[in-house]
Amino acid sequence: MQRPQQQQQQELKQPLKNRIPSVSSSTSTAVNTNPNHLATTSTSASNAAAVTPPNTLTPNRNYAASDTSGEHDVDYTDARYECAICIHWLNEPVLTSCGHRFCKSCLSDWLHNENQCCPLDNKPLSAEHDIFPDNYTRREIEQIKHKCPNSPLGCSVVASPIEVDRHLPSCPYRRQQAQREEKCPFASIKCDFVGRPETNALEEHLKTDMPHHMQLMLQAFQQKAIASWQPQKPNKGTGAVENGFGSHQVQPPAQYANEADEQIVQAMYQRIVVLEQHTREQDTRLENLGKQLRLARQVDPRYSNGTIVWQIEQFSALVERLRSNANNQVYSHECYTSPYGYKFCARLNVQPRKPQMLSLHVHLMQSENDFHLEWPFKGRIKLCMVHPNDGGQSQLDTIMTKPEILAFHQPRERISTRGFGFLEYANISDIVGLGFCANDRLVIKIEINIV
Amino acid sequence: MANMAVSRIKREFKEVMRSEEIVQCSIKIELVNDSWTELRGEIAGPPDTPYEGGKFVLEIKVPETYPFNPPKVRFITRIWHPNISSVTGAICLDILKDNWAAAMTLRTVLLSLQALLAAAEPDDPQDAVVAYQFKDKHELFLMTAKHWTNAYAGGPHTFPDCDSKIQRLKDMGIEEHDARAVLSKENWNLEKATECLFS
Repeated sequence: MQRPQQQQQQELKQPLKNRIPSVSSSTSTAVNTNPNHLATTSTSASNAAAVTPPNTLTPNRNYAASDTSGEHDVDYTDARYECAICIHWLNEPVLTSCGHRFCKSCLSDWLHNENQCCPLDNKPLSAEHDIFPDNYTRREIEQIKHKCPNSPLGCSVVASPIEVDRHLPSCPYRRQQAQREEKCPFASIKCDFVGRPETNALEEHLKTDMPHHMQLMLQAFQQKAIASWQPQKPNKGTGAVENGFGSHQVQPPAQYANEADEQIVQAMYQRIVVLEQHTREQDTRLENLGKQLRLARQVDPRYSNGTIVWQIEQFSALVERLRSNANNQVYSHECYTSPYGYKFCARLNVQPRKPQMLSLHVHLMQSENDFHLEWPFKGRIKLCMVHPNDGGQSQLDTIMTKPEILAFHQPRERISTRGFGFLEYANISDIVGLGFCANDRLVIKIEINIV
Repeated sequence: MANMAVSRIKREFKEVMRSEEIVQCSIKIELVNDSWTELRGEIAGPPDTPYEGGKFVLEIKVPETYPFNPPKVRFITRIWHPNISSVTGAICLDILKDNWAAAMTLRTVLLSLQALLAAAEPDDPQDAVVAYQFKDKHELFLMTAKHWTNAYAGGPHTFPDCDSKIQRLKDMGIEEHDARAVLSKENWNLEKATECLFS
């Protein structure tokens, strides 16, 4: 210690004489002064840390521990600077008229919760008159210096507990801390989400990333299945499990994959069957709907205005059928004289005794209008066999109703058993011969008018 | 769960862990799940009461609005006490209802419940049957409470008379707890209990 000091003195005495010794002496002074300097700074540090608070505050067990050692985090509060509501450092402290301190936001939350009294002694408190900002305490707390809880990880922030709290969410060293704190429960299957405990990000993550987790689970499951795969089938014959296993060591995943593919194919096949069935059902429905639509397109008999245009297709076949049995007869579609009028239809048949002659009768039908109509029916019936090429040749007959004819009385069955018309309406050979039957189609038009 | 509730429960947890009572084993607290919303408390039956020697387990549910609203607490361990339902374990205690204050903590709640065991309020009952017995047949009440403490909370006092009556009902096909409950309600009158069960 002596020598360097002498050198320094020499240097000071002869600053310009020799440059090199001055350099060496300056290094030695640096060595020399450092311990002193360190000593002073350490005392000043201890002054700042340990001396100032004890001067202003009575040392508290928690407080002393947290301040001098720095091992404890901001969670250890000084009981006098603790808010009884959040049990944490007073943030923007307020003082009540009954002498208790709380965080400003804590107390206002409490008072808003329909509690108009002090949480500590139940004295009535009015939010307007009994609460005052406690700036003295706020400054006292600001004086307290804490290390950031992440200081073991390298964070060098030293601030008041409130500031440290505020600093924590943005602390550059927080990530490691967070990882320690709150991993996703699916971390074991390689979900690398990490949330911070003071946020509900993890909760959100669990809600929103479910598909991702499902995928991870599937992967994990597949890997597990591959890992635990035992080639049972090939070993059946050999008996020596280990030998068999050795020979198949590389194969299993591929085989397993094939098996998985097979399962997928099978599942797809089943799905196709289901879909085909579904398509068939849809086709049927479509067909039925089409039928309904076609029916709906036909003129509602209610609005036929008393006219039937009866187009008989395949006339020759019909004649054969009528001739084969005297009981065979064919009815036209139904018709109304008016929407609320009489309902009737026409009938064709062949007399057994006169197979050449076609009979045509008009029958009244029961309808929902019968109850308010006048009976017997009075009107004119025009029968017309339409010639397809020459209107002049069309055969026209007109019948007037007579009240005594039973056919015009109110029908007692769906179709009145009695009809009115011609037993011998036309000779079938004439019909064909005169060309009424072009394309094997006969058209008979019946018009009924009320008189 | 709200941030405030979680951070406060975490701090309270530490407080209970550091407290004197935990050293004396008179109160205990533990987590049920990781979300800090549900906890399990345990209190020792206070000395010089029929509950002495028993350990009573409590279900503690922390609402999201904690600490502005009280935690929901009930006894899981069955107990014979005028202010606690012998059926559901529901507790009638003012601080868990209207008189809750944000400054109260899990520790103070557990200590209050311990105090409730030591000083029942039969005039503000939760279980009317127990309260009636407490006021009218106090000796019988003490015996029943001790018997329940023995049966459910590991208390030291046994009552062979009670056990034999319960056994009689069990022989008739009644569940042990139902038998005990009915006998307790009927002041250990076996005939009345039987009548009550089979009528």
